[in-house]
Amino acid sequence: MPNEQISNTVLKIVQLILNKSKTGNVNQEVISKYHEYSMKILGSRMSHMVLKDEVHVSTQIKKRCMNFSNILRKNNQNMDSALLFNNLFIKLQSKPILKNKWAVLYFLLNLSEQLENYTASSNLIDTTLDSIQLSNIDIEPKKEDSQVEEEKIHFPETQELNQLKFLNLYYHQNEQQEITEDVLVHDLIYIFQGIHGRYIKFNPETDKFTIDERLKIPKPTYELISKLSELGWLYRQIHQFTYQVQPIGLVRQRFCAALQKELTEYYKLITVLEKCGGGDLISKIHNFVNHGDPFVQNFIHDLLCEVSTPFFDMLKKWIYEGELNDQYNEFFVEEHQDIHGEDLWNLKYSMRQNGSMLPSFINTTLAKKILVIGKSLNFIKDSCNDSEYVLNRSKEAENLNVFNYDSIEALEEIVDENYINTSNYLLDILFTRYKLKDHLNALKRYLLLGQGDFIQNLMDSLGPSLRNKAVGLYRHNLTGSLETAIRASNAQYDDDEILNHLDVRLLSPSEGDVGWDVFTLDYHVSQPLNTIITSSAMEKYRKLFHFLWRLKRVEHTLSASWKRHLIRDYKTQEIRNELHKSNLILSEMIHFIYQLQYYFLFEVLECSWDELNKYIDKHTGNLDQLIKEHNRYLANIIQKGLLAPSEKLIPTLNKLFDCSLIYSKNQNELYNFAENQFSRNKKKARLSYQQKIEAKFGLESSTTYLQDSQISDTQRFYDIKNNLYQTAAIFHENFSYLITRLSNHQNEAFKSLSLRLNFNGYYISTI
Amino acid sequence: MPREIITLQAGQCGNQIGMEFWAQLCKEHGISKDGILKVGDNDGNDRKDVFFYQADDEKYVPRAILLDLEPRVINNILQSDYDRLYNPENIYLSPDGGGAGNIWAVGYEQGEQLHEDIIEMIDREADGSDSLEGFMLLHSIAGGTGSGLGSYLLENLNDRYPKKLIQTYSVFPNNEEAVIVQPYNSLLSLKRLTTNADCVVVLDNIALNRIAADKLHFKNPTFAQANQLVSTVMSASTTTLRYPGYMNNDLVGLMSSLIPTPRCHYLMTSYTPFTDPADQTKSVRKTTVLDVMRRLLQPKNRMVSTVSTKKNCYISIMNIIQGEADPTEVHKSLLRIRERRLAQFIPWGPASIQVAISRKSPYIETHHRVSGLMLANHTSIASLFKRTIDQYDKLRKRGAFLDQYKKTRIFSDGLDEFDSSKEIVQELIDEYEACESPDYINWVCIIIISLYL
Repeated sequence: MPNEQISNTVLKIVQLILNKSKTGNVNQEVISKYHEYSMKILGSRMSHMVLKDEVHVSTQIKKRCMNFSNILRKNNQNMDSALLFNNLFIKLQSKPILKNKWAVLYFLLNLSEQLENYTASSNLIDTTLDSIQLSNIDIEPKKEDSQVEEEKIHFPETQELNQLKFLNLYYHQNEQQEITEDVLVHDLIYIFQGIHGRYIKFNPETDKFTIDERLKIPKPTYELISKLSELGWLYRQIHQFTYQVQPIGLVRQRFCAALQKELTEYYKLITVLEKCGGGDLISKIHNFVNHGDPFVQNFIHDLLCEVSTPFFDMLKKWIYEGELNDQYNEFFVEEHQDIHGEDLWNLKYSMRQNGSMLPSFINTTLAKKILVIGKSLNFIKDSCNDSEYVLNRSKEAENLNVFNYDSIEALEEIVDENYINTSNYLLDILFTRYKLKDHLNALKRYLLLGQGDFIQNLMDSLGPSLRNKAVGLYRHNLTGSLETAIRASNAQYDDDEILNHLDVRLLSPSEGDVGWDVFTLDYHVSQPLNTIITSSAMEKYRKLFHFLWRLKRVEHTLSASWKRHLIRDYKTQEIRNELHKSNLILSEMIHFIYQLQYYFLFEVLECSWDELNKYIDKHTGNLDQLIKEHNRYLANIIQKGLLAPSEKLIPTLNKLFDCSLIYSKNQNELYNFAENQFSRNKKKARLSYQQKIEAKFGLESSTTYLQDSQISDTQRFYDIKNNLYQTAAIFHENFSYLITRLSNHQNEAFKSLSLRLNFNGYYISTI
Repeated sequence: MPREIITLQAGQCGNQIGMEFWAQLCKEHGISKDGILKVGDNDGNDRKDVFFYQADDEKYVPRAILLDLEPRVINNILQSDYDRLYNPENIYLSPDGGGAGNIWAVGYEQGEQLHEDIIEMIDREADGSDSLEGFMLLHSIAGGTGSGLGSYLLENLNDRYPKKLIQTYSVFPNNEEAVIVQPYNSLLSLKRLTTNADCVVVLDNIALNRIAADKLHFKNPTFAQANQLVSTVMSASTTTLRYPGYMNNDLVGLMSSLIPTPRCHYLMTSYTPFTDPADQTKSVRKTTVLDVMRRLLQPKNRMVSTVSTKKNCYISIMNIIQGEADPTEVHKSLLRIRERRLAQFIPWGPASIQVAISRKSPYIETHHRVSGLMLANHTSIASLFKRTIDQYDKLRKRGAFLDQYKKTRIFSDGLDEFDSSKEIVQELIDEYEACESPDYINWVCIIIISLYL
């Protein structure tokens, strides 16, 4: 569970307990105090010396139960709670979903023990209330508030109140035992300004700052605090001097003013330091490194050497092992939990916001390189499963002596060298062991239609099933066609490792979709390549496939129509004229489809691929840059290929494709009509011949004439003609829109397409 | 499932071209003269199975049927280094070996008589392919066998395989041709090429000889030398089928973008640069894409000698560029060509220079960085047909050399076949002329050819 969620839950519990125990509104401050405290308990790394064994705990509980039972039996209650517990315990053990069973039991046991203690000594409640006052760290305790609280807590004893008291009790007891360094540091900052801390207070009798005796503080820390608190004492002295001493003479007044000014500076420094930690602190100290006073300079230098040791240790571990060892969040690189798979590279590690924790002696470029080195090592180890390389690297680092404040220049060199080596090694693994280029090439060949014979075969074998309704299609029926297309084309010579990634996929169909609308080729990309070919990149590949596949389908359909003009002349003059006209329109569509394909595949796709390839072959840069280049490659294709949503050309293209498909269908109907008419004419000729013969021999005609079909024929021919004209008109309308948009577009590539589509200037006169 | 193509070679010229073509394809695919592929050479870059099939012993065998009515050329093939390349069952030599005597009608009639044997061969070959895309006929239209038997084949393929594409590489005669009756033969062939073929790549001997002399520096080019040019063109025009890429991986794709209306399906070709056999330098010429594309448009590089007028225009152009062609370079060249108006296009529809960028065979060293083939549908092709009609008219007016024709069944009832052929060719000329006007969309085809009525 994320921290925030825990915190919210705890807050709710605290509110619940406090609200139940009181009738009125509970002070927000109180709630937040308890909440904070509860969180502290939960967050505490200190653990009780408890045997984490549920059986052990259960035995303890049973013992308690038995004791209880004995008491209860005296009161004539003969319920055997130990037995009951035993049954419940067995049930609990059999529930696999519940985790931390021992902890649950332990908690219950503790609760029960506390209840006993509490009932035993009613005095404790006073101490509990004291603790609230004690927790007040303000110099002037806000008495009023605490009094209100006291009153409020004096409500009739209900069970809820008991719970509250436990909470208080626990709070109080623990406070005596542990105190974190944070709190002490916080106190010290007050001390530096001559103010009482929560635990460290000025004792006017001894003229010293003293630490609350109840605290258990290790001796070294204690001594350190004593030394530091001297600064506070000095401050008090000066402060008192400037304020309390009566001014004697102007010079002295001036002197006080000057001291006052110095003190203000001192305040500022303290405020700054108060907010700092880790790398920031180092930066602040580093600001004094060029101090004019040699003494200060030396002091700062030595101080920096000391202070920066943990930083350099972290740095070393980071750039040689790719590990962050930063439990106080002091390093400028930050780790994010719960990031897996393709996001690992991008999201797991980042620079802290606003360059926080970045020591000022490390510039941003260097810092970025440092980030990339560690990221790369981590990636090599975790995503590329090459821990050996990282291990060797960390051995290399053992004898290096540049990880200290004095060797920053040498460090820069080391970082540069590491940056190049690690980046190169990472790219090398991706390209050799994980065959990145082969996969990119395969994506281009299969999803972007480069392997023409494979696509042709796929279309041949899938075509009939894709005409059906999308709802009735199943993926497993289509995988067979994929196999066939691979085996029948030169794809069969491709590496199995590549082919295994190829798959078919059906998008979720909308109402009325046919197979063509939902079918797409797919390519499975696994770790670590999915860092480059991410799922969003795959989305783009599929989108491109869908477009190109549609384009190919239109080409195929138009070709099939074109082929019908081979079926030779047996048409009436009227039909021939219509066919002639429709052939010219069809050839316009063919011209459009071919030019668009050529433009897309060669000028857009091949040229973009060329750029990507040139980048890859240079073999420089890091993974980030490679990812960027690959994304750019896809974005280029989409942008130049008219498919960027912002261009709003997709609907026009789709309409042009639809028109072409419909026109082919219309023309087919015309051909069918011609064929039917031809065969009927032949029949008619035969019949009239028969009638003639029959008449000649004086026989009654046995045949009825097919006169009635004449009218419907005329109607049908008219309908077909009409459909052809209408479809052509819609095509022209959209085409002229497209070409106008393209020729007026600021993108040169678009203009060049419009030029190709209108190479002989035909559309200037017609549009 | 490759889109297989079966090659039919008819007559002397057809078989000679075919021989060169297969030699070229073997070279390009790393197949030895007896059909063996070097071990481990199948890298998956090329598709051999469009034009070859693999026999049981892994040998690559051309999907080719060799037909002739006289033995000379086929015997040459069988005595060459390539004797074991072909499937012996696919070679048909007329048993009497007398040839067609340069008479179209004799070749046609022989076709009728040999119908079963030939169709059986074609059927067997068609059954051996997974998804046959079509046929490629290699022949000349001037002689007897290539034109007559070729015409017979075209008609029958149409009947038998109505949904398959038929492409021909047809060699047109030159003026000084030894065959006196070539105008008759050509006219009769042209009717079938117009009505029964889907795409005719026109080559003519005048242009071939001129190019062989100019570019390859042969003083008196032999047939074989001229045929080398043809095989270069054929192999280049099939590269996109044999080296699959994004586009133009099948015949129908190539044709549909070049041929907007069914009849105007005659294509002319240009190729540049040829590798001069006398050139011994090893260095690679830095020919640019623009150089190549510009030269392809020059009439002197066309492998057809047409007479151009100012009204002539391109219906369509496809440039197949091989080698290190960069798409940006192609684009710049297109702009330049457009700027300079180096090509005039039809006024009735969109037309442009389409470009196919294709791979080059790794087995062949060339002296050029890029080379290119142009397939163009150009209205000046009609001047060839006009020439044929003019020559035919002269001959026919004199009633010369008709006896041999009248002896055959097809002319037994009179010379109607000549008249109908002339009508169709004349209409083809008219249609090409109509293509030069913006009003082509309203052009009306007058003659109804009722093959079925």
